[in-house]
Amino acid sequence: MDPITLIIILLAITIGGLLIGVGVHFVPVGGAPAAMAQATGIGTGTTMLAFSSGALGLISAGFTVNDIYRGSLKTAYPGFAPALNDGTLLSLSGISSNLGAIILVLVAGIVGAMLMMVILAVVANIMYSFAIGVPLVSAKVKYDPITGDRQDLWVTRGTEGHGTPTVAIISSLIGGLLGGLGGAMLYLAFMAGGFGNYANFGVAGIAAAAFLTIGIFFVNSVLASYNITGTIEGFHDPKFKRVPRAVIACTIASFVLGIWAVALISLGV
Amino acid sequence: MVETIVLSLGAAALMGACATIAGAAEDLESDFGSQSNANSQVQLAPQVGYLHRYYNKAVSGEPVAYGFLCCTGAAIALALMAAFKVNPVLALAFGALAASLMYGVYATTAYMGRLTGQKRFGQPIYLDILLTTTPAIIAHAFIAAMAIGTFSYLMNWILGQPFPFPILAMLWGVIVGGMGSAVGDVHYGAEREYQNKPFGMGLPAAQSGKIVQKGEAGLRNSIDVAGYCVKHGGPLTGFGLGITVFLDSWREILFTQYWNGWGAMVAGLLLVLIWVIVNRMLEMWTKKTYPAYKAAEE
Amino acid sequence: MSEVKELDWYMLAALGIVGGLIAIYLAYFLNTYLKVGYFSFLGAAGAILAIVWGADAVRRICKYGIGTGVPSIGMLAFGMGLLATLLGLKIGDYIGIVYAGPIVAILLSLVQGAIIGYIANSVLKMKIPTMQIGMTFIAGAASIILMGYTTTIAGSFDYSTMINYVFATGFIAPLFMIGALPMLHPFNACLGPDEDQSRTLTLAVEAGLLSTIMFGLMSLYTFQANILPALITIVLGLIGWLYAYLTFFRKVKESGVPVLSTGVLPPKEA
Repeated sequence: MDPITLIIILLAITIGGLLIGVGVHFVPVGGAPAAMAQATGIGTGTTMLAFSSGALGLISAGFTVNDIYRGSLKTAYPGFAPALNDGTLLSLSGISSNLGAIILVLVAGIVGAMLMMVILAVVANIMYSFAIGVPLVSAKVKYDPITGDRQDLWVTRGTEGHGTPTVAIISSLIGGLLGGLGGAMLYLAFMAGGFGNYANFGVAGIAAAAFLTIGIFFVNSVLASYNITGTIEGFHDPKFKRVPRAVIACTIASFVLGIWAVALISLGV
Repeated sequence: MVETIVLSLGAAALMGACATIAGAAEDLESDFGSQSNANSQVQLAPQVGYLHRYYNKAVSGEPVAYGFLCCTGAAIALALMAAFKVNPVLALAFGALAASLMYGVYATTAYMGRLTGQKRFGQPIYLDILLTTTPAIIAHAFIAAMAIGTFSYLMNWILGQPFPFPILAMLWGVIVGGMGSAVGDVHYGAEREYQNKPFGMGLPAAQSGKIVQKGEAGLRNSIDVAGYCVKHGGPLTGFGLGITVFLDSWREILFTQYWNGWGAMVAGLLLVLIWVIVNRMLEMWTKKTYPAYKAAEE
Repeated sequence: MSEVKELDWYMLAALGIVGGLIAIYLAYFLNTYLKVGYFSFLGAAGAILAIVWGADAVRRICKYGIGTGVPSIGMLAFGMGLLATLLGLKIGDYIGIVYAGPIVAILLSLVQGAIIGYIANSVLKMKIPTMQIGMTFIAGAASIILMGYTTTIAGSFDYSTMINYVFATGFIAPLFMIGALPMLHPFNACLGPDEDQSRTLTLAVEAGLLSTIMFGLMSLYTFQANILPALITIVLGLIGWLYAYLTFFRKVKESGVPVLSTGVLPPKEA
């Protein structure tokens, strides 16, 4: 495998991990207080909320890669399967000739992640509206930046807001977009590095690519959650200013993991 | 081509039904065990002087717990199918059984361990709570594990998702845990745990830890909690997961054939837009129906 | 009341690395030399030593309150450990010396853990004194747990076995989850001001044996023709688990927490 392809794979892994780490900061995490209607956001922990949406993005991306490689979309993107088989998908010529297929896979990851994120938030909001009987407001801003609604008059005294208002929903969609994109990039990088060669590896290659993606996803997601230390409401939250620290941390971590991955790929996988 | 789509749609409908059952069982099981979010209050209560008879199952958070439960069940099912040529339904049942027994053991050690770590606050370990609630936990974990194992298997075998189905079971287990944690736990944590507080408000920080100790008749325990949450929290969690599985499978099956696969992506983005609009309507409805705490200063 | 001296974590690290390596080498050697699968359970023994090491490291990191929950640390460790371990085993396979694989895998995992520990302390400013060494240790423990339990499932730890029996079947998913869980569950379950090392580590052994039983059931896939190796793992796992669970229960009762058969809430002291 030529050095340019290896460098592109390394970049793909680094950037994919970085996108995941940054995406986690956009997700409105309420944690344990949200489950008591004490804080705005979705009531799960940071790491696992990001991973839930990334999981559906990964499933969706896996479906699409399989469809293009040997399923219903094989005739529409004929260059993809041979490129995956001989490891040239992420070489400069491979990218330019298979650009449509690559973008389709990345968008598949994005759509899956965004769908999961929005359903989590909205079904939780149905619970807040009818079973708890609280309006969906945030205590961190006086007016919702996107809809202009007044927030603080509806916040219960002693709490930090409850539910997931529109600004947090939009923030969660951005988080899902970045997470899904990052996950799909990682998966594609591993598949292009040789795990995608079905004749050689069979299902084991697909499983290995998926699980190595999951591993790197966890590393970046946990590092981002250490940066956030608890709860965050999205891009309008003051804690969002901590993102630069996470950028450095996730880039270094993903870069080192990328070096191991490239070493593995260059040894012939 | 049409037969494949019809077969896939039928499988998707079955998967949606399995997912709904799995979601409801997951939420109820986490209510029996008082897991993850709402558990922070159960943990805090003895420290502020409120002793209780809730179950304190602190086995990681729900996503991780369901991740390991479902993937173990699916993996053992795969091993049984390969080694003894057992048919898939029975294999999934045995796998789910073994996994949920393991899950029950983790629940008991968590209960005993947490209360021992807090012994200075005087919260006793009630053996009758341990012995009556743990079988309920194991039973609901079994339902959830078997349902998720089943629809992961169908997703791999009929819909053609290439990941081996234990990996799919793990991913869906994490997703169902996230759904239960975000949706169902709110019903437990904000409503049932603080049932003696007024309805229609959030929980002020000063009230943290002051959970309900007395039940309808006798002392409140976790079985009462599940009996209440089965009316709203459990089914809504099931609905959330079912609609996720169904929508994702439906848009992939029906629309991948249009525009070289882009049809499925456009369909997905349209669905996201619909959900955002629904949320906005819900938000406006709550602002209109629930009056503000204080009037705006003019 | 006399203060029980806590086990030093460097000693546990040595036990984990050396003991773990010896156990999995022994399992591999006996299995390939005698061309049987009966010694796969030794892999689990090595994994359990590593679990005790890892659980203690988790304990020392999380005692300072990392603000985000204990389970994430287990997932972080395994996420790092998986790639490093796979690379190490591939190197062992590439140069043709199978026994070199685990050593390279452990070294790479320790390096990876050290880097992430540095990032967490200095870049993310978590400033936890035990973070640097702790993170290194949990990554190394994760690597040995992965290799030990792979030997239990498939009879050996070399690269092609791992690809064919662990990845192709999807067993990597439970390997990851119920391999990480015995490392993170003990401290999470015993959390509290009265947490005690010997009780926590007993729980680590109990959880590790429980995972061994599950992996024994999964190893039925590998040993389809002759299921005796799987049965040995399952039976030994069950006996060991029962003993460990009863030991844990005894320690719980000995600790002084009130254990009541039933009853109403204790009366509040005025």
